[in-house]
Amino acid sequence: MPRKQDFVRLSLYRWELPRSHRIDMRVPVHLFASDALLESALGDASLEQAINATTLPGLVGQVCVMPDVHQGYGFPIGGVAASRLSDGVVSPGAIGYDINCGVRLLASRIEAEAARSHLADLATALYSNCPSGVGAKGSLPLSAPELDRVCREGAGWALKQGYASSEDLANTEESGRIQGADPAHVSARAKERGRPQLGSLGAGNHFIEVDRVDEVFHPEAAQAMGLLQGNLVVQIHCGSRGFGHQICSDYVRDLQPAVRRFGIELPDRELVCAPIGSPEGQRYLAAMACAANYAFANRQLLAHYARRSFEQVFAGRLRGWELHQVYDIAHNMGKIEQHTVDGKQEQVCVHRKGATRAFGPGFHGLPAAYRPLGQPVLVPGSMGTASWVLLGTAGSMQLSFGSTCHGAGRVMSRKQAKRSIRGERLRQELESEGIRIRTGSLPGLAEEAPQAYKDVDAVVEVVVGAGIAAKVARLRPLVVVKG
Amino acid sequence: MAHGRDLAELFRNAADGMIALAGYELEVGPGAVCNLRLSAPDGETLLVTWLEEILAQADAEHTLLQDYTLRVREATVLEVEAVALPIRRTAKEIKAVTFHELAIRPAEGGLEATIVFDV
Repeated sequence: MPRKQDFVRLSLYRWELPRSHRIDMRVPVHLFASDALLESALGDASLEQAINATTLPGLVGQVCVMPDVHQGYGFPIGGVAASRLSDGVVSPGAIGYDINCGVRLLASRIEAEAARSHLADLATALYSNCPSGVGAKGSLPLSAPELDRVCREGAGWALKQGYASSEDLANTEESGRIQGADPAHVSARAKERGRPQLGSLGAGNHFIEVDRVDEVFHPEAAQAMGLLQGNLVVQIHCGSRGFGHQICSDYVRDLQPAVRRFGIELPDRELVCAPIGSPEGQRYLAAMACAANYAFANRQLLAHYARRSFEQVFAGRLRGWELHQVYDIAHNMGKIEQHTVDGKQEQVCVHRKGATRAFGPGFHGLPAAYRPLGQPVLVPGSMGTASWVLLGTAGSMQLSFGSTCHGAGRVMSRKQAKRSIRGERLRQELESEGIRIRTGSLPGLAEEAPQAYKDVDAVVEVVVGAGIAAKVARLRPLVVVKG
Repeated sequence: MAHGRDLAELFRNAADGMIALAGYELEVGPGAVCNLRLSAPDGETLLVTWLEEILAQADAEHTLLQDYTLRVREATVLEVEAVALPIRRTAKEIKAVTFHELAIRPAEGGLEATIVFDV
């Protein structure tokens, strides 16, 4: 296990664990953290997992670790690794089981104060309209050909069905569709799990939250995003449901022989991988794109249900209830991107597991309104604490393969949280703070208690201080809906 | 951590532990007979394949494999006779069975394995 003295301080919030730390490291680890967050990260296996990740073949630069890091399975949650297309690998375990888990932000023009007396009804409407819970089915069961179309078209499928606007797609990472999706590389079992679940929230740490824009730090960016201080916004956090879980499970299992066949030595079988150019690697990327597109369509449907809820509660009572999409980001994804490596432009496969793409100003994939500012980055906190809207920066392009943090990061396992926090008491505490809770599982609520997470404000101070994001606005929760 | 005198018992105990973790509640009534033959290149992968099969059936078909009789052949083939019972409610979502630090090791009285789930 690494110790604090093994790290070299590069700047106030950036540390390097050099390649010389362990003989099998191919690149160094760069950790973004304050002293306190570094010490916190040393409290679990996350940094050991980051060291293990550096052994993947064909990596460039460094494995980056975000301040919200916590221990995952094989690869740390909050890790970023980029591999060369020519001799690098793609690793399903370095992307995660919930492929394209991500966050969507919608904004209204309703003042929170004016809406206060309607928030309980809004919570109930959201809980009723957005299917949630373990194994929850959506309200749109898909035929097999229809699921294949979702795989290929992503949020574009929802646009054709009338569940999205073209503005929604423009304000979604990759316009809501990853290229190269091929449903032929998705198992029958994954399709069986995916067909009934589109348009559902699921359980665990997924949520729909109504927030108040608490403070604006970057008026120009907030204006471009339509975020007005005091107004209501909605965050949707979920991913590709059982469809993505099954695709990742299939490839983590099926690529095990490929590791041996290609002579790759790994310190942890969960880091299983295949050369990007190999048939196995290409098949995984094509299947991963299917799950990513499913997740974009899933959040799009949930956005549709959120809009329906706002209309049911506010239409005829308050003006400005229409929800426009600020942005939608992925934080578990593998992407082929161009980055500067050793002074030259190179195409690499960037693995982000619990990390958010954070491209800086000038990126052509951004809508015109955001291009001069940088990509919106959505960082949900934990229930009862703030969430943040940030921007990608030129610094993130130089230091972290255009990536930044994705949330608060756990400090307490779910088991520990459930043992030490009672769900009913937590609900009462949150309600007493004016936060309306709707959940199908009180033990599940306890697992996601604010005490189980790091201080999201401290995480944001690090990424801003390190120059890999800029603050736009802070959000405060008013309604939380969980499965 | 699961233990067993042999692979079949280890696989059974691992499944029992996972099912307890997920907290499945079953409907009362008759189930459907289910026979499976699973194969994998090694014992650890076979264990993951077996546990994944239970999770996938629960998620896709809303049925839980119960009363299983397991036979392991040369650590690479698992034959299962079970009854699939309808699930009424699941307390906890288990996303996946991981290979993280997975190893089937000799232990006092037989075998042991630590299995890490993504929850």
